[in-house]
Amino acid sequence: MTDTNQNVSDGSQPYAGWPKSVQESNAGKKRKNERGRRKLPHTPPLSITSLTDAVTLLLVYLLSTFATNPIEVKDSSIQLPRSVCNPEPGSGEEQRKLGVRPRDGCGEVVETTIVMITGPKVRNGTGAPEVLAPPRIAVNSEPILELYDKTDEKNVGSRYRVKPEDHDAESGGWVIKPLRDALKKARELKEVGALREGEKFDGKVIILADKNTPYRVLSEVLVTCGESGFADFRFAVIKPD
Amino acid sequence: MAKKPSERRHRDEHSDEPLDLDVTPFLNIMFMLILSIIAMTSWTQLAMLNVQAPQIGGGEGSGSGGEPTEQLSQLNLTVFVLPDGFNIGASGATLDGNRDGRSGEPLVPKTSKSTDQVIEEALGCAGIDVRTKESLRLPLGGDEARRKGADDPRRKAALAALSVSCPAYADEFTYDYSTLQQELIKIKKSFPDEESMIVSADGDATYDVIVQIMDAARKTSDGKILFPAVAFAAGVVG
Repeated sequence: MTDTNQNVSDGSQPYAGWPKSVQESNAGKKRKNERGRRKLPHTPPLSITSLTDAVTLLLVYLLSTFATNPIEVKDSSIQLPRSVCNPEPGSGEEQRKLGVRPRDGCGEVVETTIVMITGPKVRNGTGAPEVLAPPRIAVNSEPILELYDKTDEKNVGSRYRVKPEDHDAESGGWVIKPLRDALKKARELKEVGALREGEKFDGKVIILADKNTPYRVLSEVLVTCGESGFADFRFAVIKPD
Repeated sequence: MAKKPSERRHRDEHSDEPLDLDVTPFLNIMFMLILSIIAMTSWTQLAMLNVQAPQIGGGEGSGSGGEPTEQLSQLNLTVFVLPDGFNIGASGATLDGNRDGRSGEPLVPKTSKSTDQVIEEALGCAGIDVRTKESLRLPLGGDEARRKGADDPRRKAALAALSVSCPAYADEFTYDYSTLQQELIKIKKSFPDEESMIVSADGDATYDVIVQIMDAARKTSDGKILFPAVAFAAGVVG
């Protein structure tokens, strides 16, 4: 066993385990079967085994951190507020079965009717951001109405209000008419669905709101939800890491 | 071991090369899987804060799981969010703080933001140009400069940049949630059975502030429950 070109796949040689012709070409030896033709030297093939290992590990890591949400926030103009609320995993299903609310008011995500209040759509460059579209209110990702800027001062989210013509005058300016109509429709659908399941309509609604939403708009949305029969509000927030 | 005809001449009599498995297709599948998993994963995890119905305009409220009449408290603890701080009020109980939440100084005034917080907000604000961001990242020269506090040039630069790009954060003061929580803990000691609280705010107060008040009122840091049942007063002050 004095032949140094022998294949010993223990990593002791630089090209161990590779085809012999490659080893020879890299050792700078003159090839036996060269017939006066100039040949390009063999390029050693890349070993992708280690790459495969790395990719597999990455895949396993991603699978272990894989998580989905029953509700997705795809709109880029909505920034949810951060909260310290961190519900125990699995507590949501249990509480739903028992029909209780979490004692500290902090629960898991449930799938139900969603009312969304987005922020203004802005384009950020240098300097003051340019407002492309005012905030919108949407029910189950179907846009219902737009807000207006009450002061014309751009880029401060809290300056937006519901347009006066969208208010129901009989409610003293608290009920948003288009939202109420949309919620009534959503409620009818939910009631039919609940009937088929043999359950009662639970009136749950998730409020997905941009963190700069003014309190006035928020409370008008809550009042309108209550009017339309959705009285069990949940605010969607971002869990701490 | 079969070989292609073109490779036969390379064949060595006494070599027993191990047969290599072609892992390239496997690798392709792996990459596709990784891409799809990254695309499907939701990176921000959401939670839900339960809220009580507003006290006026609750309407029919039919079929709701909540029982607002039971939750209505004797204390009517109310946190008023004012432009310059918080006030705590209650009906039929003697608490310090103003009953209407309006006169005089707020019970929990706003505090000055820390320099780090101002800079962090400035860095997070997308409208600020790169040069300003770079100058904010420069380290402070030693402890002496750090002690200057309000005279810190980086703080001034950050505030100036914020007032152009993100006026919503250009305020040098911030609501003091920890002091609010201290006050609520004091009240909780006098009324241990009370769990509900009303939040009443200016029309311009942001949702973010409301959520942070709810956070402060939910639990203490050692897990004692304070006032988790938050309702909103639809009657807005101011």
